[in-house]
Amino acid sequence: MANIGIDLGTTHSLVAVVLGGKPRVLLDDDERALLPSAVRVGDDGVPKSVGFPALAAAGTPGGTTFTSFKRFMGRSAAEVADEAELFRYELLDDNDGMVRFRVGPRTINPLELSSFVLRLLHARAEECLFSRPDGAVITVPAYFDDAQRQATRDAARVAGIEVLRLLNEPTAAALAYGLNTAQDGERVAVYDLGGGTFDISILELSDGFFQVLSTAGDTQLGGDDFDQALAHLLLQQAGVADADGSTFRAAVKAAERAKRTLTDAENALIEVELDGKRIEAGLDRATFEALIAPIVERTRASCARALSDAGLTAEDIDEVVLVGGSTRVPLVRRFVGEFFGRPPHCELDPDQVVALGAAIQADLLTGRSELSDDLLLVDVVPLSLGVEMMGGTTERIIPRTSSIPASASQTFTTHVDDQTHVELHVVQGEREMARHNRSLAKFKLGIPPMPAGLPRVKVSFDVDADGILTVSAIEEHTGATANVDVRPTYGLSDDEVEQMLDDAIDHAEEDIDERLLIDARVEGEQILHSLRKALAVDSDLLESDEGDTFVALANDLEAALSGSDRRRIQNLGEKLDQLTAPFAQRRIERDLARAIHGRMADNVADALQ
Amino acid sequence: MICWNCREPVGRAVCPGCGKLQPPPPAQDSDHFNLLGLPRKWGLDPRAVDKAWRALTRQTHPDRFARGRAVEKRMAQQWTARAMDARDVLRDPNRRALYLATGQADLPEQGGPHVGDDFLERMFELQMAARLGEDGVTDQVDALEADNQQQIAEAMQRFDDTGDGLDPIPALIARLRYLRTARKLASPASE
Repeated sequence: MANIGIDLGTTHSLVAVVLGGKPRVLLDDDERALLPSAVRVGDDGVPKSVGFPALAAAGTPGGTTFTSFKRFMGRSAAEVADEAELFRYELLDDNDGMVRFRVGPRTINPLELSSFVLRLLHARAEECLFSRPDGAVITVPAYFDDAQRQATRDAARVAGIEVLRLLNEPTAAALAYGLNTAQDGERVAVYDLGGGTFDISILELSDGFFQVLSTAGDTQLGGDDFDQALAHLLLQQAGVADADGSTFRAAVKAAERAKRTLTDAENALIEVELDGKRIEAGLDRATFEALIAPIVERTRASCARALSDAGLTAEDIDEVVLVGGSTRVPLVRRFVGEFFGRPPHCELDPDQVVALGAAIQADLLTGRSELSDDLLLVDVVPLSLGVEMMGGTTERIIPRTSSIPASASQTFTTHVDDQTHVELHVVQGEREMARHNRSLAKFKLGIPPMPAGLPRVKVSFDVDADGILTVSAIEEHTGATANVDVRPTYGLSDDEVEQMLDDAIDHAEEDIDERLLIDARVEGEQILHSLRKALAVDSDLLESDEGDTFVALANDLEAALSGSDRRRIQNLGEKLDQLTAPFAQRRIERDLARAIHGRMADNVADALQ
Repeated sequence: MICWNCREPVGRAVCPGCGKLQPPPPAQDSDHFNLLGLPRKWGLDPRAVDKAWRALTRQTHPDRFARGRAVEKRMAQQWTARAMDARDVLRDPNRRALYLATGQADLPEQGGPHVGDDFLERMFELQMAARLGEDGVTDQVDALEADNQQQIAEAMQRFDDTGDGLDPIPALIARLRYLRTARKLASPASE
């Protein structure tokens, strides 16, 4: 029926959909668009809550609330040790696998944590749309490498969501703006500073093609760093040398509040209790800006590189778009304005613009979009892809900023007589030495023994429209082949993902029945709630005796909900869902008709002004 | 070609009968010009290349087959990657020239055609001068490069007119690499 767009963010996540020709952000029952990307895991290792309740429970005993886990996606424990320290997460000692956090007797990885957030957003969409979304476009930072993209796609799989496309966040933002404002031939720079990542992309709109010319960024830089810097200052002022987890969290929370206040106000009053000491201090904007200026300055090199990769200078840019909550910080806006020599756009809510763009792309992918039937998005590879050569150097096969999908191949040979296999090490990054780049995969191609220099091993790289790589190799004399789905060295194999799906159930073995019953009840209540709401509002759309059937079934379901027969609740729920599908369809059609009608009325009003 | 889906004859990427994407032609049967439907000549307007690339990509891009079968998605990806490659090569006059002359858009990393003893000698002198920090090296490189570019253009013009004249192209293109190195030595900051 509909495709949804999901912005899976570091600090918060959103879901949006195109309805009646307009992208809209979907709200929760309390009319909130943002879902905190936070998951509460109990000391028993069982996930307890997601979003606001998880955030509210942070720092209280009985469990751990995980936030900013996007920063750990597709990373190895060794790579993120410092970061984990920053967030006071306990990492598992095992250094070869992907990151795992220890919680009580169990472990949980960032991919699973993300899947909880995705599942909740998907459920929200299902409730708002009265039907299960077909598929989803999920956004990722443009600078995410192959491993981070794979991890995101796997998180969606674990959540049971069909991923239609991974879309780069700045590209999504440009789409949200571009559709309304950009003129043919215009070049747009998107400056995206989120909670934990920074991206800069340059796009050009030309003849219905929205093409990314270049992209650069830093996956470990964001507004969280502002909070951390200020928190360290607060702790220092309070004379707390070695802050424990809760003290540190309190400092970060106070810092974040002050940061928000200073967006509009010149001064913020910080009141916080740190390690038993009550701190009351004023902070003016100048002090805050001096503190964060070095962090903001770190974005300059990326901006310059994106421009030079695109073969442009700042004067060639026609529009500058701001994305990400951290671009609310006045210093950031000033920096962007100065760098590009023009005031940046900020008409759209920087927290929502990515999700809106994702919804637009999701709609374009239906093939029957109301928005545009001719717009095509062409993105690029953020980092070069290559293989390690003799002597440890990197041979680039697909250079960065190549348009995707992309394919390229290169032929190699052996250096030693009678080699029986060639080992290929696939890496991503711009450094000359392979070991400084990100290791994506290692594989062996068996070949018959031949004198050195005789074998011809053709290695082919294919990058799909999601920016994900597949590698194949063939020895051309003998036809020996190897195909590898590049599973990142620090990522998960398909089997592991399957295993994780199973584990998700195994983990809670002891209370599995109870949990399933609770799930069934929650779902049953949701069905009941939305049906009753629908009956109250749109009863005129009911045909023949539909109403009576629905009410009778609803009453049965309500009765079942107070019992503990899980199967009965599920069966009744499914039956109700199926039977009410035509009614839901009629309601959506009417909503759409209304939305379109409303828009036409607006147009008439505009024309008369 | 016969459509794999509806068995009607097709002559393009998408079957006009049933709308299914067709497999891209084998690489050996279809060069970059053929793929984009452009004349096999050097004198091409980059805008015409872009236009042809867009027209093809509009039909074959994976976004058009987001809900298609796996085989269709794979073909869409192949078409689109091939078209990108063709566009990148044909937009660049020097790569286009080398491609017409040799069938390859880039010279091998090592080896490559002989650029001529006189030219090599000249390059040796220039690079020495650059290393010694002498003035005017960049100007000489500029002059040599302009002359080289002129020779490429003349040879390619002859090719467009008569179908001959490609022989000197690989060496002329190979010279560009030496000139770039000399330029870098003369003014390290410009690179």
